[in-house]
Amino acid sequence: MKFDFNLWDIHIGTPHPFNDRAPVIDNGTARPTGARYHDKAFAAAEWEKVFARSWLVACPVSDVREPGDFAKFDIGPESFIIVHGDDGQIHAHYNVCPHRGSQIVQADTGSVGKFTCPFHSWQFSLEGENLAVTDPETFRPEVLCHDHNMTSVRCEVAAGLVFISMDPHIEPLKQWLAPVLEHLELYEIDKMNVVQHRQSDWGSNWKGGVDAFAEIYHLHAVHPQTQCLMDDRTQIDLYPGGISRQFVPFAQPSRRYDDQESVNPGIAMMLQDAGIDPASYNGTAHETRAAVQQAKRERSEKYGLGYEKFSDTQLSDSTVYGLFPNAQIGCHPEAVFLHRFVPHATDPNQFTYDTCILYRHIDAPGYCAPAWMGLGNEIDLTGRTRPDIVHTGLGEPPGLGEVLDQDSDLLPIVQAGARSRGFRGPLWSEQEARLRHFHVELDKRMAQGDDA
Amino acid sequence: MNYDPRSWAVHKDSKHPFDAPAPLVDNGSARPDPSRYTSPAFAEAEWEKVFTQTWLFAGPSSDVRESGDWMRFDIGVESFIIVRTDDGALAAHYNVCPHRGSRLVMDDVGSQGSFSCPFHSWKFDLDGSNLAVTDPETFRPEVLCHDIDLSSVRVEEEAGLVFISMTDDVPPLKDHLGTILPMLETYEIDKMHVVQHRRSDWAANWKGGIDAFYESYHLHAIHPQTMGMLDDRTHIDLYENGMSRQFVPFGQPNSHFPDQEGINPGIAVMLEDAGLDAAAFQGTAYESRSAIAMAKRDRAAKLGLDYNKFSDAQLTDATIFGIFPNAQIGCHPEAVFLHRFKPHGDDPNQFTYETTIMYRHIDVPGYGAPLWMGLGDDVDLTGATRPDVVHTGLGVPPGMGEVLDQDSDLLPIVQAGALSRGFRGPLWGEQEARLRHFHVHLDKWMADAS
Repeated sequence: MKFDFNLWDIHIGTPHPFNDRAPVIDNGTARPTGARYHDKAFAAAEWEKVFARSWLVACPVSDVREPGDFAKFDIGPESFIIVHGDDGQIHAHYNVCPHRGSQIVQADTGSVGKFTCPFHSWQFSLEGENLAVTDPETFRPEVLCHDHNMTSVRCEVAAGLVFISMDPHIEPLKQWLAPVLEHLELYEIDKMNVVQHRQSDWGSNWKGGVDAFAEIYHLHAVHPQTQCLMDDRTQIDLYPGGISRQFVPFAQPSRRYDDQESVNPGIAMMLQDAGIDPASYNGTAHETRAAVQQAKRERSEKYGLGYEKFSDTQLSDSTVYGLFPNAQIGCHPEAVFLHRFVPHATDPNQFTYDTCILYRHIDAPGYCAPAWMGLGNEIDLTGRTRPDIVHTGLGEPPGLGEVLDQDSDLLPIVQAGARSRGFRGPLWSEQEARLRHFHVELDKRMAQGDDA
Repeated sequence: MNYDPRSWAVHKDSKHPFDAPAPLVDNGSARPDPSRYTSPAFAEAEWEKVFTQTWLFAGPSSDVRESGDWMRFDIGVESFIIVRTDDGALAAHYNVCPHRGSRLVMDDVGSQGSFSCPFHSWKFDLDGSNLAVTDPETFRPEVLCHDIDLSSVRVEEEAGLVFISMTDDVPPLKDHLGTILPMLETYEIDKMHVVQHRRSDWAANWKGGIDAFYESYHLHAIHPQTMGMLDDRTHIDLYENGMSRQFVPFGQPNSHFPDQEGINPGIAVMLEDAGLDAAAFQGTAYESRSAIAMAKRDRAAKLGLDYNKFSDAQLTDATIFGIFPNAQIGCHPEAVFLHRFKPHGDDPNQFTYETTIMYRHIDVPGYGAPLWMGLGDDVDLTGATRPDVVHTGLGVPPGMGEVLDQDSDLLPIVQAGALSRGFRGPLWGEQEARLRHFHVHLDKWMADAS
């Protein structure tokens, strides 16, 4: 393995500008202290300086397609309502009644004509304007002179995702997202629908989640069953603003896997998924990735799926984007994995892992969500029904499939060690360059004065 | 009852040097503030000024006899690996990978040639030195210039017990244990092995556990079923460094028990256990203790066991040692009870009670662990198999036998009261002299600026 990832070429097939490397960013070699993972004061500062001043992925556009559609977005101590207004715009409000503070909606998603507070039935328009104060004559006029609309926050849409920011002065979303915006737009996430949505509470700091999902160095140790079909030779790109990208080659054994030739069951599944019969396949395991790319292209040509815009790598691999601070999107032409690492309201030793699969339904023979996504047969892939969010509490097996369950078992173990006075801070390799990039951006934000 | 517990005739006319009382220590009569049981700030200071600064009992030597044998020791937010290295010495490391912080071992005990991190498979030698960084060529050299070995701590063993210290700057363990060390050594705990190991989370401060286990004043109220055979007229000794000793006479009714004469069922069990026929026993209940001591001496002589080093009280009674800060050992010639009261990582209103029974196996008929220890028939007394640790969570009945289950029911009730603004602090009797001694010593550490 090469220390400099620029010496590594993981791409096969036709050269494509999408695969071009980002200019090198040198994030140094420092070892930060472990306090960032467990210190309460650090977590409090992080909330004020990072979360309250960033763009945060709130929900996919598909959850708020029509006027009246809303989605609740909870993070840390806050809850927001994202709603498609009667004015055709997407709005975001604190999920807080201006009267006594009660939360207004409790459902994860829904569709309403207006909002009604459950406490005293005050009513608000989708845009957050007060429609009715119950018994207004019992308020002194001076009381109702105080603003009694909902409190709204910045809300912008890009690449099929709705972002919110608690910072009214934040730069436009598309300006911050610019380095990868065109990449993400290729996947037309706005045409996808949620087919699975899970939330699981884990005994770890949210950055422990970001860290684990931003590197594949741990695959051989934590997920050995993936070694036969997923390579850990990877390309990492770092962009300004803490944003990053990584290609994880699928349908190709890891270099740590002994047998690079035989078509193992994992490789067979990948072949089958691309419409190739593994029994009659003549290539080696290592050649499968190219075969998968080829087969997907042929399928696209046959059914007009429009894959011309994708590089070969994008067809076979997981193309993963890290969006600062707490989101990661694993992109495939058929579907995307949206992961969010949601900090706990008060405890730096807990976070909620939120994972959402968005699928683009195309009614063509052989076309479906990748088998390795593990979507059950009972799932409606057409997008007509929005599945409920399944929530599992701390210590419960999340039931997210073998790989994610392994991560959920491990993260509390890492957190327990990171809290120790014997831990002198993380040592990041270049395989973990995205982690360092994330933490360096975090530190930059944390170093800003309170007046920044 | 007499005001000075040292005047109680626990040892009757014993001339045995082991029974000699310690010089009197006057710990005063103050009433400390109850915030010590509940305040997160107090708990945090306690961790920094006490637990991280002194020797902590980590486990028995029998769990780390051979090279490669290791045991995990968890306390507060920390976890340690204690391991017998290739040269026969002990090493203790934070159970923390220097790469990203992951725990290295999750089992309680094990045996292996090296440690491998479950996260990215970095490898470490038993002595903690780094053996392998996975894919070292993907690290910039400056990153690996940071220390990549395990972080280690002080470890020493005495009397078959292993202790660690997170601070290097501690006196030798021998000096820390001081006067009680030769007493502990008489039991040859190094020749014993674990036959039962339980861990149970209780909703009380760890010092609530210490307090309850450091006195037998509560027996009549909480454990009335013991009153026929367990006396609360005890002998208490206070030693340097917060250490203490207490004899709890067995085979003798409690001062509050109305019938001091009749052979009650509890006394009968004690007699039978010592090889005496309870039905044929001619003495009173109050005389059964000396009969048991004599019977045990006779049996030892027949089996060739050296009981001369033991006083009569050691043969019959629970001879209990309090080891500052959080351990207590109940000693008997055949077996010892190790109790530990482990503070919770975050919550002063929780602790983990850990209890281990260590038994010395002697393969002759008529010799066994005392019945009242309640070891089931399924327990392998030979030491060939090390039993698993059985862990019960908060609010779950610990299943440790009637007496300990009664304590586990009571302690959260005491803690709830200690949390009240109506509680003005504990009032300790001389039967609770070990508690005061412990707390006075704790306060000394807490007052230390370092």
